Amino acid sequence: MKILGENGLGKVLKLFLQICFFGGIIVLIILPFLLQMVGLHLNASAFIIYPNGIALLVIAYQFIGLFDSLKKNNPFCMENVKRLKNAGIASLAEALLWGMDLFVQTVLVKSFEPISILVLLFMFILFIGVAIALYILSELLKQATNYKEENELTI
Amino acid sequence: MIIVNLDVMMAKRKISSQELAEKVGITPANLSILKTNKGKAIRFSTLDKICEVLECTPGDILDYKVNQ
Repeated sequence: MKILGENGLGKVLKLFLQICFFGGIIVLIILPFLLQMVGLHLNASAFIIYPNGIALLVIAYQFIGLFDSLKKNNPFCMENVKRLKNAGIASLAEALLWGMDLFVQTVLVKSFEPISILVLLFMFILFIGVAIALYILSELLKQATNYKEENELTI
Repeated sequence: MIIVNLDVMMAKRKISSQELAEKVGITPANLSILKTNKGKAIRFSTLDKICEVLECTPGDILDYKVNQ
């Protein structure tokens, strides 16, 4: 299967991310009503769920743009460098939110459920890793874009 | 910085951009990049061909100015 171009893998991934993006927006909007239907309420957890959801939507939005550029056969551009950097910042925000959640649960609420702590710790480390990886990738893409520009302007 | 004085040499030889591009074997768009100092580098083969067509030396086309 083709990776770049009009009918490449980028198009499939973009479609998948678009579904996630718009689905995510709808879920965030109707979440209080959904919970009400099953007899639950959004109280303090809203402070964790909504910022997390928004950060994930930002990451999805950046990647939609990135895969769109794959479709247009133009992956090496400064816009993509910016997109990767923005996604990295959103990942860092996500990691901080999970870290905050871990802090609230262990220090303030003093709940020491091992599974819950492990999940929160895993998410915190995972998103820190993703943020670092995205930052490194954005720097790589920046260098590649500069090389491409230099090559194109060599006559 | 390196300044390309191609237009001066072209005026002296009374040759158009289109004609020079054709004779050198580059596109008019690339010649325009070169003329407007937007290029980042020039291949020896291109420089060689330009000098051959314009009957000049690289020093006639390229100049150096101290960065401000």
